[in-house]
Amino acid sequence: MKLQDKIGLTNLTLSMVFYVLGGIALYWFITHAVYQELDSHLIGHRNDIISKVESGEFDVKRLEEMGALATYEWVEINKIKNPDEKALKSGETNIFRTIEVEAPEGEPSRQPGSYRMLESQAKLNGSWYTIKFYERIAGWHTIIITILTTVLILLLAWVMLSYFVNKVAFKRVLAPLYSTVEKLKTITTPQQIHPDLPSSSTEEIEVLHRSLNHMFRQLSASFEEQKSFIQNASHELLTPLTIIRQKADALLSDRSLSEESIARVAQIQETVSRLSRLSNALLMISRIENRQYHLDDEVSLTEALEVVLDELQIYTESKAQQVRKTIEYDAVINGNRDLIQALLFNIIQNAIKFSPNESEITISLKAEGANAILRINDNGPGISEEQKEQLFRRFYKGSKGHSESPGLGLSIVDSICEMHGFKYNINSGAEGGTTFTITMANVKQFREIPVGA
Amino acid sequence: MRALVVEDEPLLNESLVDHLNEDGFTVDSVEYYSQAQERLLGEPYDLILLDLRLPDGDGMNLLKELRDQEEDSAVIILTARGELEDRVEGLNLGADDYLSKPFSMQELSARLHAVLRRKFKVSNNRLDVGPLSVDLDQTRAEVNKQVLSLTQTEYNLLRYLALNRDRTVTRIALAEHVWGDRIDDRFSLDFINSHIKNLRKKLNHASGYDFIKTIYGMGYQLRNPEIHDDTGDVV
Repeated sequence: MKLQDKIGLTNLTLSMVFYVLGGIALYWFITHAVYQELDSHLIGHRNDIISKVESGEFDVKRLEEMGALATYEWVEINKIKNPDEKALKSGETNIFRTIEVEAPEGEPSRQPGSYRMLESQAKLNGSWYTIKFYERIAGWHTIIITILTTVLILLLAWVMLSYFVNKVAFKRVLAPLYSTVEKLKTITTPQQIHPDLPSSSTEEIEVLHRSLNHMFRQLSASFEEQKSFIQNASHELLTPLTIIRQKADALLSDRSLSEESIARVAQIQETVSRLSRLSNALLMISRIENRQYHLDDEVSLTEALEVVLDELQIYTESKAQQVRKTIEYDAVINGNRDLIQALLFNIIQNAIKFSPNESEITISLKAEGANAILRINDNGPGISEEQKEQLFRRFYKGSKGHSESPGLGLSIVDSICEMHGFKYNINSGAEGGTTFTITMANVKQFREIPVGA
Repeated sequence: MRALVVEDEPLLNESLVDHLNEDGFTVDSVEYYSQAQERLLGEPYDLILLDLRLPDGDGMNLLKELRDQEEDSAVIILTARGELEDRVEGLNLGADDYLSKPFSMQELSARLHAVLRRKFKVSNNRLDVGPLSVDLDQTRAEVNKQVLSLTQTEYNLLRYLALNRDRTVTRIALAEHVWGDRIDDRFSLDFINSHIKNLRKKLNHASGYDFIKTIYGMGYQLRNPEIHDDTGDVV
């Protein structure tokens, strides 16, 4: 969820909680205030009547008959038959209650509805009486509800307005943050990093931008440094190798050279060749890891396979090996064409190398959901678990005496897969044979293979 | 023909000069960008070998300058292998070919020839070694006017040996010529042996001569069998 939505909704939720609680509290307070008022009014009546009776102004009989004190107010007075003097004297018992009253017959002043009642005991002219005072609340209720409703509606309107105003305000204030987030989303390679985030008057955004710019500068610098280092290393390694190579070549033009000398010159050349391939492989891996290769090509896997198998045809022919292809669909992948070809070349070359003469190598390409699965299978001796771990480490040489080949081939495979987001797997059967499986997720499209292709 | 070598590494510079001399060029050589610029102000060169990484400038700029001046020299750029962008940019800017370091002199010879032919529009390009005639533009070779039936690989090897005739070419050089970076130590040299064997057989069958001499098992040499005997000495 977006930040501004989160803030807005949190705000709204809390506001609603407070609103509800506030509403309840408000109701309680208003009601309490009203009751306080009513209760003191009732007490006032009680004290008034008691003093009037004691002064002789009112007489009890008359009170009993009177009933109504005013509109919506009346009194009931009843003699207590067997008063418990002790209990009555010890405590002034004033009990306040809210009661519902039905309309009694013959009492026009007693409207049905809610009433506040004071039940009290008093000694009047020597006898104990229970006196009940009633006062109607209905009118008050209406007032309470009106006030409450008005206030709550206003508050609700305020909360809603607040929510929308905040939404707009946040959007404005957070705009630079969002634009930075959009920018960050677009960065996928080191070349796209530019330390050009603007200053802001908002403290946190200013800090954020400044830190990001600083980090970007360092990343860019580091990337460029690596790049020139690799380019220089390239040049510095390969130029002397060229010189060695050429001096060796020049030696060969000397006709007086002995057999041993010629043999040595040939060995020098072969070693230079090996060194230069090693350098190139290492440099390629460095460049892959430094993200110096682009991934913009749309590579057709079947085309790449054609190219690679073509190059390797000389080997398969000489070893009388058969290459069988099972291709359901052609998969077109976003990536680097040269690297993908190098990837396929390395894997298939290994399959050829480690398989005996006259054996079969199968290549299959399937679609599984949105992924393309490429499998390369050979009938060689297979790879044990320990060998598997070692295999991808640089400079590993297989134990079967392939002492001449630098073990970087599979390291290159690893780098290229990692760069493209491919997953790979090697499995050997119990009887031998090895299957190399690559799962490719960046499939742009699957295409039908034209018939007869 | 006049050639200019622009290379900052002295030993390499020397090698290139020697080799071009052998091939019949009159060679000037410089080690710096600035010196190269000066040279280019003078008489135009037929061939320029240009290293892209010079201590005082980018070889690519020199190439640009050259083309801006509408010089018609054949240019071969020397780059580190694997620097694909250099190659592509160089060829886009008008270089005629490239050589990836490290390269052998024989490879240089082969490329030189192709470039010069392209530049000076020599058609009907053939190389004659005695009764053997190797077509340099298409996959075709003849002995005594009879066409040989060759595979692509055999033709490539024959052509390379022909361009480097009378020189010893090691197997590794032949392997690199055919497969470049894709060499595999175990297989490549054996393959070369068997292909040369086949090639030899075909040449022998057509002419009765052994054109290709094996040099102590390390390499091969193509020479005119009519004027050389088996020991390689001139008759």
